[in-house]
Amino acid sequence: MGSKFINSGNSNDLTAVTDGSLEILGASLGSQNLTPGFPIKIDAERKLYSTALAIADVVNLQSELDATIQTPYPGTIEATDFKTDTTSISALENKTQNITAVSGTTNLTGNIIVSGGTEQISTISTTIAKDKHECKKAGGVFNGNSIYQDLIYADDNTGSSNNVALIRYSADENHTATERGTDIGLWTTSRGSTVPSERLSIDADGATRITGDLTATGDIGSSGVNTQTIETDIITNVAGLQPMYFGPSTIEIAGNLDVKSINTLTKLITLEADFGTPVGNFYVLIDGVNYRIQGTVTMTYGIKMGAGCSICGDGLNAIVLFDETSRDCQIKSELVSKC
Amino acid sequence: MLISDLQIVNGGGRNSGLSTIGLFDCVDIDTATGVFPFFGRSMRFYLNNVSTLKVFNHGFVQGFGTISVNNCFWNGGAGLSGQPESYYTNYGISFQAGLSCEINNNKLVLFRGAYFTTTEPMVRLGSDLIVGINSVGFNAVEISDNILHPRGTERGLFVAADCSTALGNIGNNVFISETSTVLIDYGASTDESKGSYNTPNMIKYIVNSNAGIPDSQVSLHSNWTTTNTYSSASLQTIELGANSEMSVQKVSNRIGVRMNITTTAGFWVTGLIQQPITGATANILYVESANVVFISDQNGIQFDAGQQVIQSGFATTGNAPTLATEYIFVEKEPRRVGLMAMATCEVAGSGDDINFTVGYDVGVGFVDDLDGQAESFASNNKPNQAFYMSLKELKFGDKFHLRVSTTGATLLNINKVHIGIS
Repeated sequence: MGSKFINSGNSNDLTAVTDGSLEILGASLGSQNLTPGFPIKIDAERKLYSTALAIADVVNLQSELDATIQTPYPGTIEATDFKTDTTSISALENKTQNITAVSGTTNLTGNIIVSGGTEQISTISTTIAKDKHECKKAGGVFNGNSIYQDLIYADDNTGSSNNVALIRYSADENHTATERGTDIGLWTTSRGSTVPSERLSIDADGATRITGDLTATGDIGSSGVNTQTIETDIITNVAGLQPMYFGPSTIEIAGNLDVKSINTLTKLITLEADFGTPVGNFYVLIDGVNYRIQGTVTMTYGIKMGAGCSICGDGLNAIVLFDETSRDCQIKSELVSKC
Repeated sequence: MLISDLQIVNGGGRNSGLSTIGLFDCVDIDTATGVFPFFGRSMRFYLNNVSTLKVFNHGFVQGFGTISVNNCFWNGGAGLSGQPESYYTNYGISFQAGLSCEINNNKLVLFRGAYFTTTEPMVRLGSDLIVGINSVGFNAVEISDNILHPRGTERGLFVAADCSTALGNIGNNVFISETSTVLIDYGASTDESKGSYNTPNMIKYIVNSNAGIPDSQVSLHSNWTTTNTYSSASLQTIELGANSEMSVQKVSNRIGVRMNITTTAGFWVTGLIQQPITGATANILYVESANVVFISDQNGIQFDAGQQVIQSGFATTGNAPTLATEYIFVEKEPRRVGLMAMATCEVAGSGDDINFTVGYDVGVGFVDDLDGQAESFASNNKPNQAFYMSLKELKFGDKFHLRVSTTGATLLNINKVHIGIS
């Protein structure tokens, strides 16, 4: 059977159609076994059929895919920028949903620098916001080790950035499975200085120490302050300023008030140690100061009077009892240099 | 050094047990560069209402502008027996050379003398301190209203022989006595002198109204003789005759007798006038001039019978001084005293009477006291007595002497003149 689109010398010879030698040049080719919308592949008998393509159908596609981000990606991602579907990662703080929490831990090694914006790392739970800083140290954490520091740096207007404040978390003991005492210290830099100093510390035992004035607009200890924990060295009279002021109100103290020094002119003595540290065989009293003896004070050293100083009993039961087991105890006063 | 309202128990050197270490070791006098009159003394040694118990040695206080020890009760711990000697108070307190020293209303009791033999004083006014050429003592001392109870052979208040005081009072204290205690010791050694207080270290004190010790009353018991004759109807001063003897004073509190000094040395100090036999020295109470001093006995050895200063035989370098029958009142406070004198004499010839009186110099020259003059009849060849008696108020520096006159008779020997003041 001859065909007008078969270019053969014998229009009745159709062998070329089946022996694979026929050259077809036409405007279209169709087949009833093909599926619309699918690409065409060739089977083992070299027949055309339609099917979805596999990755292996494209040369190097798998290797190229292997070289790109996977989910999850097991290797190291290095990029000059991250972009979301709407904006760059610089606005990531508003797109926390773009980093999805997964089980396990995300470790960051090296510095995280946040420029021109605000660092906010938080995990929202049903009750509290939690930040977790896990610090590991080879060999363990020992007493005095700085566990974690939040260092605040600031430009000094010369292009150099320097540490100006910090919060330091330190081990208060050698950490073990059962003992993990920790201190927290808050440091600031004084005016005219470049070195931060510790201003507020909370020790492992709960003691809070403040270096500097304490100003409170509200109550201090609305449920009461345990005065036994207030040590005299917390409150110091710096540069002659009054460290405490109670205003015009009456101060009522239900318990004992153990005051060692009323002011620079009066000291209260209830123990030998209240005289300070002996020099030689004597406690050397301060010029012009009145020492008021309260109760029985057993003394193992003598007393050397300063110019214009005095000793008196605070009440008729005031006793200085000298114990001369180790040395003679005297009350000494020497000639004051005359102008 | 200001301490008040305090009880001090123990202390004062019991560890070392040395008598030279005491509870108080306090100095406020510049003995190196101090300048007259204060010598660097300006501070206070002030103990008020300070009780002590069993202080081993109360210590030493030198100098100070004001020493003020008031209302203190010092208990030596000897209310408890059977303890070792060092348990109790062994030593009292010593003061030296304070500008003023006030020791008032204190009680010192029960030192170690209760159980152990000791002669330590409870309170000592110590020797003057030497600053350059100056011997610095106390300016004013007030010791009053205290109770001192030394025990055994302890002493109460001790005033060192070389402790000087410009003015002082010791009054209204209670010195509780026991058999062997010396309540106040100022160097006098005989019973008579212990109540005289006329040693240099005590002459400026009034000792009055104390329980246990005599007052420093102004008294004089002097007797002497003269071989001079008196026949004038006008009162004449009775002078010691050549080679006569005069007992200066037997008990002479605050009364000095005149001694004329003719030596060219011109300056006499205590100790230069010495009884040649016993070596006892006289005390210069008052210096009128380079050639006139007034002396009294001292050191507890009286210039009385057998121990007289011999007028003509008293030899020192240069010319011998001569005693005169002129007395001076050197008590620092005015006192009203009764003065009685009696003269025993022989009379030659017949006469009418003997007038015997005392002349006083209260700063305007001697004036005879005619009111106190007694006139007696002169009886020839018989002992005659003439008397004088009066009550006078004397102040420091007042002088008096004995005067006699007769009409128509001659007084040959005034062989006894007695003067008494009380």
